Amino acid sequence: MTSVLGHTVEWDFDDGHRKWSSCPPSALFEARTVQVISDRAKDVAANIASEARNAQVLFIWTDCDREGEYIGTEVRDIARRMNPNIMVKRAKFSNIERAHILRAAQYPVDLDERQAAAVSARIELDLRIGAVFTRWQTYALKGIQGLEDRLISYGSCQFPTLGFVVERYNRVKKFIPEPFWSIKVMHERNNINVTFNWDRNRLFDRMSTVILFERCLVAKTATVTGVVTKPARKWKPLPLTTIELQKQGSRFLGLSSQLVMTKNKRQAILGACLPKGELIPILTVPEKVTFVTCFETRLMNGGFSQPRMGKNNDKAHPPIHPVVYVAPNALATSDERRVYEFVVRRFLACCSEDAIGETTTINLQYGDEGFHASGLVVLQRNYLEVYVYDRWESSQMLPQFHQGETFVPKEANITDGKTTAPGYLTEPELIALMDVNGIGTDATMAEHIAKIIERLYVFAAPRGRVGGGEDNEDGGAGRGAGRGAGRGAGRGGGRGRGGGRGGRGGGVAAGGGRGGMQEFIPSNLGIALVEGYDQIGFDNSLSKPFLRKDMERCMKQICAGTMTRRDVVDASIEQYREIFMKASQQVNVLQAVSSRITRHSIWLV
Amino acid sequence: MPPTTPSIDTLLSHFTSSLHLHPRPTWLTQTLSSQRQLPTGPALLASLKFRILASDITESLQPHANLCFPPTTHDGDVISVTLPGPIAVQVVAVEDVGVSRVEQIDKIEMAERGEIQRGREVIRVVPEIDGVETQVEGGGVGQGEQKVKTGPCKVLLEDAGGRRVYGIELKPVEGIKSDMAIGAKLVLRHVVVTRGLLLLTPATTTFLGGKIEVMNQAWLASRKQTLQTAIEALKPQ
Repeated sequence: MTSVLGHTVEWDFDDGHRKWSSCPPSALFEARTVQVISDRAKDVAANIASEARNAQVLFIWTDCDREGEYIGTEVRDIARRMNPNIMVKRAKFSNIERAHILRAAQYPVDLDERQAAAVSARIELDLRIGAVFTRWQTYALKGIQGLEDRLISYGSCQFPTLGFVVERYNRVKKFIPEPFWSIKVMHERNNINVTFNWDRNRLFDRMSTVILFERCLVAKTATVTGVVTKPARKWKPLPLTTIELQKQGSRFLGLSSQLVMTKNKRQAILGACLPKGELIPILTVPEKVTFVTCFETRLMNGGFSQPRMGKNNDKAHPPIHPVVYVAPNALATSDERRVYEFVVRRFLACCSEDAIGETTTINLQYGDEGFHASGLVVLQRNYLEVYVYDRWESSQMLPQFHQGETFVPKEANITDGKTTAPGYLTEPELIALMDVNGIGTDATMAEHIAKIIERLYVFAAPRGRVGGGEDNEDGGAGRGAGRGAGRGAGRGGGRGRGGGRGGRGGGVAAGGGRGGMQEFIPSNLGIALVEGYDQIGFDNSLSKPFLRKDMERCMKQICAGTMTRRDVVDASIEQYREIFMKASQQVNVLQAVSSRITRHSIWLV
Repeated sequence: MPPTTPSIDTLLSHFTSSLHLHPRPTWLTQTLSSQRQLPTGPALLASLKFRILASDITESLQPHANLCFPPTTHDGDVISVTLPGPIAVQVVAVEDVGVSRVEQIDKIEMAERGEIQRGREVIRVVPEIDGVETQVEGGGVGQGEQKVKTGPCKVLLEDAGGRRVYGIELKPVEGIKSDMAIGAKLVLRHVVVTRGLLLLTPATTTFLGGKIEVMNQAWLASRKQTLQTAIEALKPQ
């Protein structure tokens, strides 16, 4: 029994092409590649070889995902070199429960060559394309002051990641506030002031608003068209995925995704996190975790509820959950303790009941216009007791209104406001964008982000109050949600206005301490690279996610057996070769844009 | 004996009764004579309807006072008056006043780049050979396309006499949307005007469709710039 440390084999170009000066960049599209044992893994390889010498069978227990399959083939190749007759089997497992492991050991399967081929295709493409463009653009921009000796790396994940940051930055920069108007109706009953919000929310046209407002006033009385009380629930969180941990770590704990990942790995060694196993419906949480003891007792005594099924299943990893009790002082830093605490709380929340409440919505017809007021009463906090990162609070009580009754509102006003700029891209937002657009994997996203920071394409700064929410209208439940998930998230997501009521709005983040969240601002160099390539006008700009998405689709086809590794590599190389030709022809565009944008400074915005 | 073309009067009364449209006899005669081969029966009526809907009504319809906005429509002092109509109008401008201009521009720009946004995922739309648009791989995100928030829309309507009046959707009217064709025809009956603004509801507004190709092209070509200029004008000095 022995182990490896991730990849053992490295890909590189052969001696004739490895040096930058040895060939023109485009030669790397077809230069011969070699696979060598990386320096770091020499001992690992030697160990595998010596273990294999006298063995009859090699059992591989790498992760059952694409990357794991490929690493399995690396191990196999090293073992076979020493012992050509060794039989190779791999265990199919997705958690480390005893029964599951025993079963996996009893029924080993063959390595999935297709999955391994897909990974090897990706590695080859990343190497070739990365090297071609990195060398080319580094040479192309050498003439620019400040870039004489700087490596300007290109990566097919790095650039779309940078693209997201720059796109948001541009939106913030060119943003101009627009005025809007709304109507609010106030009424007092039983000494409670109720504000009814306009069903139209707001209009960007003053005249129309004023005219509609006048029609309300002319009507004098308002009619209650509906009083509806409905059960509401705030859903407990889903079992924790790696990506989610990175996002929430950034959002709630103020730790960068990379930091969370290292904590996460550290704890894997400690045995605190990342076990194998679908979420186990038996509570194995140790009694001594002080902050959860009472809560956990309650779960044991019948409060348990089956965790929700998430959308993701990589079939290789269970959700992240605690497996052993770790005394707080056994963890070296407070960051580690906080990550551990988060994992435990999240796990317990998953096994709890949703929070239960009741919303009451009162609808009002006033003139031609509809208005509404709603209130929330939280009846059972359930998972919220332990999951302190979510907020769901009862709102002010609404006084009694009856359907069909009419009354003269105490006050009605036109309010106005201005749209405010979205904020710069935050880390959770960036991770979400990468995730949904297929840029990187849960294991590599943090690296891509760290890479563009390291290259000084972007700067990470603690979130400032650069922009407010979607609008700066006074009060209103929509505020927090609008910010967290709506507009700020880039024209999509839940356009979260008003989502504060009972939904899974991102608004909860607001209370959860966004203080430590990081946001990304591109450097002049970062902006120049994106704009330069965009101006060259490819069908598929390098700063957009589409090329990478294509590649991912091809990987899936290799796995499904509908394309061969060769086909995919050849087709992708052709695609990038064309892009490269166009880029080379218009190198002056990239240079001109870069020198214009970086004329004062390469870095400072 | 071959079927003969119905008389102009028959045609006029047909469009009056079926669509509340009153074509100018001269326009009708001219349109009929410009066609090389006239269809007959229902096909002729359908063809003429199409031509009316594609025409500029200031040329094709009768500008009689009772078929147009009264000259006092713009009077800002009038709190409420009902126009019996029917008044046939064409849309010369439309804007979704529930959406900021920045968002409107975003939508146009994404369409220009052939992208649509679904949730946070950017999707490239590839036109297929047969013209049907398909989406490139959904990435398994089954949340469906984002519901486009529309309205209310503010429209600028022009009658046969060329008088233009703003209207707003008091309630959503089928056919009125921010990307409707310029030159689309509507018929208004018993519509309320307040402070010079028409209040459109499904009960008072019938959408006939159609468009004026030239105007629509010009509108689409200048739309982004118009919005951009409007935003620039808001820039704090």
